[in-house]
Amino acid sequence: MKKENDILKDCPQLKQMPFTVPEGYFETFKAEASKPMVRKLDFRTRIAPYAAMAAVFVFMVTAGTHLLEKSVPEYEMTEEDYVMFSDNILTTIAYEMEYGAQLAEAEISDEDIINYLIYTGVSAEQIELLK
Amino acid sequence: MFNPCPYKGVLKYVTDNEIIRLYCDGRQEEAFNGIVNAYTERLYWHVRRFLCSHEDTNDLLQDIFIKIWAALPTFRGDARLYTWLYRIATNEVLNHLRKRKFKALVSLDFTSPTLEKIIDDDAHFNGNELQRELHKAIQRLPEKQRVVFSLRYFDEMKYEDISDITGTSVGALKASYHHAYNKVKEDMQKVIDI
Repeated sequence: MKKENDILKDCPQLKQMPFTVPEGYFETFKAEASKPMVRKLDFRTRIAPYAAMAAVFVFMVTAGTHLLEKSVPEYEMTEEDYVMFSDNILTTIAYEMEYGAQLAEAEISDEDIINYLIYTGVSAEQIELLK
Repeated sequence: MFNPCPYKGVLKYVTDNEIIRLYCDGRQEEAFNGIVNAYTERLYWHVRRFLCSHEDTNDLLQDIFIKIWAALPTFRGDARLYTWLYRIATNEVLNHLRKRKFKALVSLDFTSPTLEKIIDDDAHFNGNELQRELHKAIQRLPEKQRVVFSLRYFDEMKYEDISDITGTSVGALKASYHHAYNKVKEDMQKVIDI
């Protein structure tokens, strides 16, 4: 019976490493690898992922805030809105709405103050006391 | 297995267990130096079989030792040190090869030399033609078969140890090795017949 050739078994030389290294390579490598440089690099490799994560987080927050600001249009309240939300608006604001133009032009007289106090619900007796 | 380990200026012979004991005693530097002294050659040749080029192997080996130093605190005593080290080295090699393939694909760089070409051009190749063809045939194997073939054929590692390194079952490894062995044998036979 003919024996089948098996080059991988028949030639033990094939298991030997055919590559070579420069002279003194391993000694130099071991000396270098044992130096504190390895630890420095290690510090960098440990910190780098966290720094990258922090950078991504800051970028996302900044970009998100910017996009949010862009996507929500600025809203100016109309007179109808003021009427609708009047309960939540300070009385002075309503007063300013009504008399704002006059206030801007004219100086405030005693009469204006009395009118304002009447408008805000101060009783006549209290106004009298203030005089 | 005894390994020469010159630390603290004194040539000492340390076993894997002694390296682990040094680490557990808080003598991390000495434990790491023990690993460097005991495993540099073995891991170098393991990586070189995959990358072929000395320069690439040297660069990757430095990264591997940095990874080993960083991962030492996660080493559990129940795993064997040498399979743990080989696992780190093998993962790094495979990641490196994948990155290289991806980079070549993304940059549409079809001129980057293949591993077979690297073997042909390697100034540090000192073998005969059969050895050259063997290593070229190994580079043509799929990733998993290449790992199994390298660890089993050259390092003569037990399947159980290869299983610890690769995380693959012994049965699957035997099948992979069988396929790889036959492919390499066929390729080699073609060369001989010519």
